Amino acid sequence: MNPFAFVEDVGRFVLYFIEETGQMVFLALHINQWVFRKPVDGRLIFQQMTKIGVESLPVAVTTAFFTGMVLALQSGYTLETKIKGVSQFIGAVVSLSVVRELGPVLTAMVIAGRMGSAVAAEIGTMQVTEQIDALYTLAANPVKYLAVPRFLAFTFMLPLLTLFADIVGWTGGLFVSTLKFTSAVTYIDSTRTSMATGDIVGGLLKALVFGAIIAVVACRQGFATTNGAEGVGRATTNSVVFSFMLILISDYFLTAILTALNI
Amino acid sequence: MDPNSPIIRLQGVNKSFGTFKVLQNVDLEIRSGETLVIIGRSGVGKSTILRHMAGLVAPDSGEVWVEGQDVARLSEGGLNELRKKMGVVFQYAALFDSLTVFENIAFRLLRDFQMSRSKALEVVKQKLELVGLKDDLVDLKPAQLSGGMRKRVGLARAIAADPEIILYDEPTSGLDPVTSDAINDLILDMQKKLKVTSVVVTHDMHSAYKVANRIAMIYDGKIIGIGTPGEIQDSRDPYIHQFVTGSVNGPMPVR
Ligand SMILES: Nc1ncnc2c1ncn2[C@@H]1O[C@H](COP(=O)(O)OP(=O)(O)O)[C@@H](O)[C@H]1O
Ligand SMILES: [Mg+2]
Repeated sequence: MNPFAFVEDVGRFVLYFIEETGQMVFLALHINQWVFRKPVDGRLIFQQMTKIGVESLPVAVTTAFFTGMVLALQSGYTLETKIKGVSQFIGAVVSLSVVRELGPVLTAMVIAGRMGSAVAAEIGTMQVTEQIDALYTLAANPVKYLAVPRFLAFTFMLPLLTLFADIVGWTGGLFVSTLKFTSAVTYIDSTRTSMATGDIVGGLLKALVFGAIIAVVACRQGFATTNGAEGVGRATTNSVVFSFMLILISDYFLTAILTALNI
Repeated sequence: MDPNSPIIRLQGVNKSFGTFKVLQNVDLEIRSGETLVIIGRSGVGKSTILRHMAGLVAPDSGEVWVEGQDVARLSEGGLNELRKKMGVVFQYAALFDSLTVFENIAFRLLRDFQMSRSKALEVVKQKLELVGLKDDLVDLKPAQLSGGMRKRVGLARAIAADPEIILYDEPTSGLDPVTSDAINDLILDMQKKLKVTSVVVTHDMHSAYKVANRIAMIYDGKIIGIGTPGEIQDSRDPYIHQFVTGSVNGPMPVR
């Protein structure tokens, strides 16, 4: 076996990832070109929004609730036994972590896995069964008809779902904290004194960017599907892998920008 | 426009996918009002020719003219204007899975032509009758239809906006003989009653002989013969003879 095969594989993946990211930027520009062009099909956008909301709210809030609980457990343990006697700060730790970081990132990952993959599969199937060609022949641009409504729905719904996740996550923290460490009043006080509107807005801004990333990745993978059913499977997995990577990479830079702006 | 000038013209069209040359220097003219049938084995590039005519792929070199316009040079808007006069029947129907039969057939009527839903429903029912389907399936989704029904709904969608040109990709493949013949009659009817120009891709020779004014045979990326059904049937060309008689004996290898 070629000892460099592994290195080659990694290199190939990196090149592919960069190339795909370039294609996604291209599609994103294309989408933005079509977003405001008439006719704006409100029904299609609304349909996508309700689909995302209905199908991912349960998973998103469950994830958030347990994340808030585990955060309270971990930070309560750390603050009480490792740093000793500062468990009155659990509320601050949980709420800031959830609102600034875990709410947006975990919600984005849940939705990339649940809805982004579904969009990639749907558009990929349309591609390999010539439905995309049929759209062209019926004078409907696929970017306008398929990508724009999904892009708008994801960018709008991600912040909304994140807001839910924030509230539920914070509540999960409150639950465990009062059960094991501090009183509810202390938890709420700690939250109130440490958290500013900027923390929430910054987190929601991240969610908005993540929503755009998920939509563009999913649509790009769908449109680029070849090779029948096997290709649809690959598009689906790729959309999840690429979304996760781009969410985490962009999260670092967004955090850097936000903290530089003192948010 | 001169009525004798071709309504569709391919001139020196070359097309490769990767390193694979699909079409090599293809010249083809379709006259207004005629039905031209393209025959040839699977994978020789028949669908690719149709896709050039519909502006879905651009030639690597050469030109594709439809109604006096160079398809590859048209803007998206210009192409859409041209496509308003064109109906495309896809091999596997390509119905939109998420829409009902009604919404599929009325797709362009509702979007482009801004027709009211009630008016569009009238048209849809009329087209369903034309393709031999009952109008009680308007609210079904494509997944609830049989293969033959899907195909005919695809046909109804292609003719919904009364096109002047219809491109059929294997309209009878996978259908039972009776339904196939009904589709043949429909193709003939569209030509006689509505003066539609048709290009039909098929390897069903029965259908080819029935609907064609002329038949073109494609092999190895080239048009190797073109003529009336009689001329093709009696052709001495060994390739054409082998194909139309459906024989394993001849110059074409069995792959
Ligand atoms: N978009 C494409 N990408 C790569 N290869 C293609 C593409 N479209 C067609 N081909 C190849 O071109 C050849 C001709 O295809 P096609 O026109 O569909 O043949 P036919 O309709 O005569 O069966 C086939 O070998 C097919 O695999
Ligand atoms: Mg074909």
